[in-house]
Amino acid sequence: MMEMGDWWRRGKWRIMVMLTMLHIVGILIFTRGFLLTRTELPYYSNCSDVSESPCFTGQSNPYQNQSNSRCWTRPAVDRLVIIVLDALRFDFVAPSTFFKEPKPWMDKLQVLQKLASTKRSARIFKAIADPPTTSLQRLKGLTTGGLPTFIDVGNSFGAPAILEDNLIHQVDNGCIEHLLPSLYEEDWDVLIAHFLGVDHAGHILGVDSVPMIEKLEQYNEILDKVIEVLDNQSGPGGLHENTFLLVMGDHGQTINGDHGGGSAEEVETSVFAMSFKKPPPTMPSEFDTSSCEMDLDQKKTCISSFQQLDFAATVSALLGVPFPFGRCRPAVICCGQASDAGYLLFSIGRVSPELYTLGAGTWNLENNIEGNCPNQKEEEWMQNYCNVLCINSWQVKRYIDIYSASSVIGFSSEDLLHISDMYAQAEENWSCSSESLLLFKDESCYSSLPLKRKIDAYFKFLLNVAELARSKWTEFDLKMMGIGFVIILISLPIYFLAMMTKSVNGFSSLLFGDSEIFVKLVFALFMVVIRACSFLSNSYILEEGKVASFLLATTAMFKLRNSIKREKMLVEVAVHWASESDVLSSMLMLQGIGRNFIPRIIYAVGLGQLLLLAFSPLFHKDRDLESKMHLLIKTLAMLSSCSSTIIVLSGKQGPLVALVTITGGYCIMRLGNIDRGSTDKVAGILTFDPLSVTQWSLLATCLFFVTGHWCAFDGLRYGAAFIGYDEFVLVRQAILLMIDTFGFSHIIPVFGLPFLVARQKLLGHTDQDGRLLLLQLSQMYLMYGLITAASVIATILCVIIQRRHLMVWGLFAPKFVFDVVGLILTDILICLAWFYYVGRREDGTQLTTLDHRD
Amino acid sequence: MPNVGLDNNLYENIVETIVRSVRNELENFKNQIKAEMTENMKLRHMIAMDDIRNPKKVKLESIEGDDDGINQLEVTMCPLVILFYSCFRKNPEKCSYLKAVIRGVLALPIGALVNALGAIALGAPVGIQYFPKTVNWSLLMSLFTFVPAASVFGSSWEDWRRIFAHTKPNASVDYMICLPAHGAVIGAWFGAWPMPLDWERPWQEWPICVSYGAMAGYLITMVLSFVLVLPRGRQQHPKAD
Repeated sequence: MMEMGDWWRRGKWRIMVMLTMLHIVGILIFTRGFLLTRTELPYYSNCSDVSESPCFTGQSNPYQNQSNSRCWTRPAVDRLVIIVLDALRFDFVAPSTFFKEPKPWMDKLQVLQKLASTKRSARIFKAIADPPTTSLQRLKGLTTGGLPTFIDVGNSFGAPAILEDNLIHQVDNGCIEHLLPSLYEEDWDVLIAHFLGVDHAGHILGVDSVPMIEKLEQYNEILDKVIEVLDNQSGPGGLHENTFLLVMGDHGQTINGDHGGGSAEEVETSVFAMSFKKPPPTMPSEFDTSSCEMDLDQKKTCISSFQQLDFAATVSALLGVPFPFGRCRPAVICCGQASDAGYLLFSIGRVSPELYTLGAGTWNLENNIEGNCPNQKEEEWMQNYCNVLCINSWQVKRYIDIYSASSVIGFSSEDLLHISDMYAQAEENWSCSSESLLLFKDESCYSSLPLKRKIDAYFKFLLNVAELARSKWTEFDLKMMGIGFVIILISLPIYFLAMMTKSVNGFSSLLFGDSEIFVKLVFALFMVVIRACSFLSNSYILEEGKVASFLLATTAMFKLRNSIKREKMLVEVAVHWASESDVLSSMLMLQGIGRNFIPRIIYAVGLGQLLLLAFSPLFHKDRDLESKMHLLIKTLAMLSSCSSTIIVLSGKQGPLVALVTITGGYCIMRLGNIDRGSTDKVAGILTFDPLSVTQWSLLATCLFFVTGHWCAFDGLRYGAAFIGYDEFVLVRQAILLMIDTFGFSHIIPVFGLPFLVARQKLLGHTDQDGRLLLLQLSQMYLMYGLITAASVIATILCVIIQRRHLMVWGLFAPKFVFDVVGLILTDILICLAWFYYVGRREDGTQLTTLDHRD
Repeated sequence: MPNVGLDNNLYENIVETIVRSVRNELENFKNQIKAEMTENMKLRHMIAMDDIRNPKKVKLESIEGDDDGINQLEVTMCPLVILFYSCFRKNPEKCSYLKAVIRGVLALPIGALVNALGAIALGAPVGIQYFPKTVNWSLLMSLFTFVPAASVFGSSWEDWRRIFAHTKPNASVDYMICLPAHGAVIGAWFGAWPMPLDWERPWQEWPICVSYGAMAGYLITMVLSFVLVLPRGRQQHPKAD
């Protein structure tokens, strides 16, 4: 018993550190399996690389000696204008006849529809994006031609700070101002304009709103002007003689204006492509997968679809730059996010035949020999296309090779072998060059059969690679997830053991003897379980703040009922009732109305009351309660020192929230005290009120949401990171942001927890036993950790169950990330707090107990 | 039980007739509400098909319809409950029937206030557009919880505490007050659960599903209390004889 106690007292901090390590390890392993991160390869495609490819055997690269960097393929277009309309749904562009019923937001971009139906060089595409459908990841996917993964921290940090301006019609003004003048300039090859208005209108008001329709009409005008300018300059020798226009969305959106998930509405976006050179002949029909409908003016409009993955490769092929964009001269008209087209890496996309065919230069129009073969042009196009595919496949193969060589989570060797086989198959047939094709020339016409077969082989290879990459980069590693989950789960029994070691004999009396505490324990457990179960549904995660405050108020009412039962301090109960409801109602008001004047008055009055109530007993009893006073003063000092930073960081709402914290914490304390004072507990059982700690942790959760955070990356208050600093230093700003995000919900509650002990002791018992205090403190911290860990485990379990859910990236994954970071932070903070409050005293108490035993 | 001062047969008769009538009333109104609900759903569907432009407007319309249902229920239930419970007032010698009725009527707004505060503490929406709904709901809750107790016990703090804090009903009337009141509160508490879900049904709006929960809890516990009370009544009367 003696040794046990010894180990216990000494080992307490060890247990806490051990639990922290356990959590970190478990979470790391789980995250490995759940979040898909892709190593980025720091390589560029260079002009010279292409000579390594097998595509130019027997002849030197014909495009090598061309100026600047357009060296990989025959440049099909000279200049490229890309207009990105954020969150452009497919049905914004496509004629309403393609859908079951017309909606008010359809047929607004009529310029595009008219061009698509009248000109052969223009066409509307349905582009299918890979989830998660958020702009940053999409832009990245678009430009690099890769698959998106979940975390792009480096890029997304700080980007939304630029987007503070929420006024829908102002968002695009910068874009509009710069776009038209730029069209007359000569110093760019690629022009990208990114319009955010549709996205904003969608987020704020939904798709079915008047501003959205106005926005689309405005875009219609802008596009009309742009096309007019381009058209005017498109004559021979003009600035835009061979310019290619792309109007595209990076992702779609739902009717409510949300995006991020994987539903059809969100992943389907549209691309309008138009070449200003002479209209090309129709493409070989075997590659044409379009579907045609009559539009409103009874003209035939055809729409084909391609994977967004293929976009980068296709555009590079059109421009003739190394796949995907090497370094050309990009003029990025940036409205918000910087799309750095200059630094892009590798692609696994396939050159889409339908988009490629629109580039006028892909046809050998110059050397237009009148042959007697009816389909000679088609042949030549196919030959070009075959060449492009050859380079494309070679590049993809190279990417896969380099990737699996440099990355830890690569592809399995079987998969690699399979890919190599397919590539070899595609390569071994014939070269695309005309020399080898001459062999199959019958009379004067080429036979298109071998070419077609060759192209099919390349298609097969590229599609297989894309499928494999998709399965690797968007699938979960269930084994890893399971291991991580089990490791975290192990921490739960450790918590129980650590809490119960001291009171093994007391535990039975807890179960059978004291029904009062038992009921409370069951109730507290019930609350934690409800909260845990609520994570199963995305709606409850969305409303988590409300759920937490609902449960908090329920526990408060339960306690009130108990206190009425005891006939204790009725007046005070009334005050608590009022203040408790104040706190919670004004929490909601804070969320709804923001900085209102009325809550402040309520808070001021509440604070006055609180200060009087809170400090009067302190001054009376400080003579004979030295150790507890010590603890209390330490807590106070600690809190006042951290809270100032946190309040400053929280901005205008900071002081208000601080008041809410104080009120809430005080109410929990008092409600605990009422019970405490009346029941003369025997020391040694569960020495504290489990319900109080549960309330404390619920309060912490409420605070997280009241401070205006929510579990999403756009819920981070980036503004807080720049209070006091103007320039951006990643580490410093990250720390500030961390403090802002977790200050009220983690730092203050953990350091404030001793208040529960100290206040209880002041009012209740007057024994000076430091051991009891210590025991209480440790049990409370363990209990707090247990509750946090339990809810995180519930989150993890729900994430595992819901990993195929529509909202997994939109909601569950951010929730998981926030919870996990919160858990680790709580663990570390508990360790720190333990050292801070107990650290030295541990030895002292040990000595005194030894004395006792002697 | 002896306090009530009614003889066995009379008691059972009264209980039976009143239970029957209350049940009938409730059934009628439930059906009415159901009919209105389905009508509302149809209407909503039609409007939604025609014009999705103003979903908020549609939602408001449907809620108003449901509010009417709850309103009517209240108006009819209120006198029933007060008159019924006033029969079982404590100390019928000192306290006249009229006085008990007045106590019940007075308790209605007070209880509503307490219930409304509780609901707001639990997260009920605050705002002018929600005000009539909150008032309606809290009146209903008051009818389920405070009014019977006020009619029977008046301002006897001891009894109130015994019923609501300790949950220790002794007499049959105590059961009929205590159980349904707790049932209504717990039912309302559970009734709030579906509210955050994104099913976008009209009944998920603020007071509706909470009211249904409260009514369901009230009915269930009412039946339960009768099941508990009736054998007790039979047992106790031979003993009294």
